[in-house]
Amino acid sequence: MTSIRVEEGFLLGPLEYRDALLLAFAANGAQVVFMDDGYYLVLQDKPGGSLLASAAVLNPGIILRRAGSNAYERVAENLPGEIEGLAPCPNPTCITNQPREKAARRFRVLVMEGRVAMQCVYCGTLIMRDDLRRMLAASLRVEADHS
Amino acid sequence: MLKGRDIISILDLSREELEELFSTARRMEGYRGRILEGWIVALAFFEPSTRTRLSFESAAKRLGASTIGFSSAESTSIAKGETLSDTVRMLDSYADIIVLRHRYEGAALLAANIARHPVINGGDGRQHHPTQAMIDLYTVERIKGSIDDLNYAVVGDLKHGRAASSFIYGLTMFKPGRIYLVSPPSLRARPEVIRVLRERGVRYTETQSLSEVIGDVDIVYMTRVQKERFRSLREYEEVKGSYKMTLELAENSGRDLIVLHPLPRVDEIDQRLDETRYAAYFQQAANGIPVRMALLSLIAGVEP
Ligand SMILES: [Zn+2]
Repeated sequence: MTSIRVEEGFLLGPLEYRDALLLAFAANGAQVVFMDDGYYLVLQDKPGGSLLASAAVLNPGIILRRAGSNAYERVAENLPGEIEGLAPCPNPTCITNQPREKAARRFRVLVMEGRVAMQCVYCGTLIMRDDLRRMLAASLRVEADHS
Repeated sequence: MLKGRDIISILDLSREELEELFSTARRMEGYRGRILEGWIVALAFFEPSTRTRLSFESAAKRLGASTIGFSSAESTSIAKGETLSDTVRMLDSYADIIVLRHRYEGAALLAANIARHPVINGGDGRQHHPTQAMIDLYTVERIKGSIDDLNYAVVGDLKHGRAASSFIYGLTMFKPGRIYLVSPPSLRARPEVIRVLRERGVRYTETQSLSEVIGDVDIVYMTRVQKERFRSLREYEEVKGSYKMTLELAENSGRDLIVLHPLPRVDEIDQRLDETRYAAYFQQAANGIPVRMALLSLIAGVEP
């Protein structure tokens, strides 16, 4: 197994780990609420209970630091290899966007140059950076925390 | 190895499988027989095609198989609103192998998920055209003796052209010296294509001008740059000369190069090249028959 060294300096930019967390938790059916500064997340893992956390991504695993603690814990050994039914593919001429064809939306989860990306299994479109975030935010139960 | 397999992307095949295909194709040159007698190949062309459809039809018939099918969505029940899935279910019950072309990316994969019989992708939107890539690679090997260690220029609309993308994917299965990706900035190869090049450690260079790189190239793969893809006619007029293969360019290259083109061409290849040793595109078109014969027979699991 790869050894993991966690340092504050290893934190990727907010966009990257937010994407990774969204993917990981989406795969587990979790509800995700994130704050606007990008570095802190509120993860509502079950209704009524909430957990404040900051996170670091070590590719390909996911490390999370809970609020009020200096300890990091590994919450996902790996990013999920594939996610199904997450969101519409951004490519309008993808077969999965033809409403009558009933092709299940499926995406491969990739890490490219230290960033999380997804690829539509059907049309091959790579979804990266802002496009990925837009797509995830539009489809997950994600809200900005204004408290 | 290919028996019963779906062929959706050239990336689904290994180098060994491609080499087996090529050696079978070699034996198929000039072959006529009945090894697929009793087989039915469905040619489901939801998008118009002349070359690909006719060459699949010839290939099937030269092996003794029969063909059924249609050559445009208008002529079928699709026009009456039938889904692709339902059409594929029907064809699956009528035929032993389904060849499918469709304007939407991912259509062939969807068909393969539905059909029990093997599905061959005859082109899905801008994404894949695996049998064209097989023909292109076979042509290079046939003329140059090898696909490895040669330098390639893939020229034209690399963003929307499925033949160009599939050829690039196919090259990553081998050990090309370098691939020059020659296109206008707005029509560069898609990120997923670049990703495969990087992941497989293939040396490549993106450039806008064929003349700048021609002196380092063994294989020129020309494709069409369509006017409709540009924002304005002026923009098109400005760049089109950079994506034209002329006799002068070939002669001044100082290379023993060959020119490929998936055809049909418009004016991106100087017709004066046709009768020269540079022109490989007619041989390439003719290679469509033995390569597709080889693919059908390997998928059927019947050897000549
Ligand atoms: Zn797609």
